Amino acid sequence: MSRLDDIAAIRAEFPQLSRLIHGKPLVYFDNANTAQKPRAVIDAVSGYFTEHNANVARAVHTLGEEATSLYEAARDKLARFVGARSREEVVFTRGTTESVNLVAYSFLRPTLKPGDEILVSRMEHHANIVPWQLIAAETGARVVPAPITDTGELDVEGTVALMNERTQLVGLVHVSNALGTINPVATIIAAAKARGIPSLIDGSQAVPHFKVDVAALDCDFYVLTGHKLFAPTGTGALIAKREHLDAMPPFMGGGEMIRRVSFEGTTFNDPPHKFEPGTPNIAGFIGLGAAVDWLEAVGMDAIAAREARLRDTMRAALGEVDGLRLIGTARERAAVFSFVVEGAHAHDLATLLDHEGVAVRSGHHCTHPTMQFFGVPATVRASLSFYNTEDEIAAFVAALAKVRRMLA
Amino acid sequence: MSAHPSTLYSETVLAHNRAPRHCGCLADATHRGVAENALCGDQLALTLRLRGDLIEAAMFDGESCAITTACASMLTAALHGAPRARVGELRMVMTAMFRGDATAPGEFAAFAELRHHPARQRCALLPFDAALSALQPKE
Repeated sequence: MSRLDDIAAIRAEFPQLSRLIHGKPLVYFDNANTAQKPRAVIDAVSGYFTEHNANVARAVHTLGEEATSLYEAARDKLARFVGARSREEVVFTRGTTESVNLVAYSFLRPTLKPGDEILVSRMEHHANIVPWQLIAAETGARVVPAPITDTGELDVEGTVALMNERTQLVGLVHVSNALGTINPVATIIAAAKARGIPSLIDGSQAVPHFKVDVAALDCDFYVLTGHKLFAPTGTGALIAKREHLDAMPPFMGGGEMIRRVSFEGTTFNDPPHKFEPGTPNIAGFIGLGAAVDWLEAVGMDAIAAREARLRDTMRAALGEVDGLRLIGTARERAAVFSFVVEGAHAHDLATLLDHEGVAVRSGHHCTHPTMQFFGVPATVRASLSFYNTEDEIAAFVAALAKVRRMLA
Repeated sequence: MSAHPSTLYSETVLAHNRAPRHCGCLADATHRGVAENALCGDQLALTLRLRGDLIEAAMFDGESCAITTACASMLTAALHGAPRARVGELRMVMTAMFRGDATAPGEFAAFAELRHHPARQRCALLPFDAALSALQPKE
């Protein structure tokens, strides 16, 4: 018996899911963009402001101690949730983008030389491309794209073949936000490790959907964002091996990240605080802790099983639509579907679907190179979560047929 | 809160999208410009033939959404025989209309509903920007 068996009760915990859009029940299929928040998260955030509001790691009064306890408890929860080796290996950031930039500037840039290579796949989000391009341009290194196949899967052999003595880091998205592909990250991490190359895995789209064990993966860096994990925006994390965090210089300076400051020199705090300058998004991270608690209570295995059923139903339903081409047909995939429809532009479809109450994303999904590979400027993307239903899939397909008639 | 989007996809807009006018490239163009919509990757090329300051002919080329296509169809029609300054004037009226401060002339008024769709306003402005790029002095 899983709590997900009573899906109406689960949905009732997400207030926004009962909204009407243009008079129609909301069908929220934009979960890869951001996830809706359960009442538990909303209450945790609001509870911080109504009961515990104070700064963290500074004040010794009761409120300060409460805020610090709640904030640091969120770190423990996230560490447990993703299987980090220790809480000290969990650095709180504003999100995946900041996490990647932290690694780029603090870990890689200080040692990067002309001719060095950073290997990232052709299906990366811009957040796992552009930071590397910036430090490559400064140092004379270059970003090398790892190949993907026509089905939107990583070409594992081709990727491993590109690992050489010049490769300083391998970056790979765990689950592609544009294609839905689940990548064989363990294989790539092991191949990189065997060659002494550090690896970074972008888990933004993985952690909301299935159990991730960072320690077992044994990557050097794992990055994620909170808002796709049912937590507030402006929260995220870098999970990194302690040896790296000890060796890395701070990314940004300020309060909280120091041990002692004088004009002759400053000594820095220990990880993870060394990388968390200034007053953080306390309420947001308390919300992240609540999100993780909520997900663990429901169970990630139950979530993965339900989403697998929704994925198969959605895949079959999309297969019935004439003139619809799926972009990305990987065997191992999440319930994330990008597609184009003959004779209908992605933006027109998305605007008209909204009129039917269906929220999808249209555009390039911050993955220009992926779109270029498939020769499409933009796609419609329907991304599902465990709180979606078979009825919503049916409503989506009916809405799609209706809006296509309008554009024909 | 956005309004009923079917008023955005009016019969005027849908008809232009189904059968756009002046689609293609002018063989004897004197000016050519391209504009891109970063949100969706759409590219629109506009070719113009000018005699002095007068636009004699205009055509557009590119695959784009219904809003961009319909607006490009209207704009190329509106520019035939118009002075070159008309492009900038019309664009200003369009952006004023998106703020609710004006009504654009003729069929362009069909885009008034974009006031409630800020993310799609760029779609209607794309043909204007391609035309402005065409008219910009080239080095």
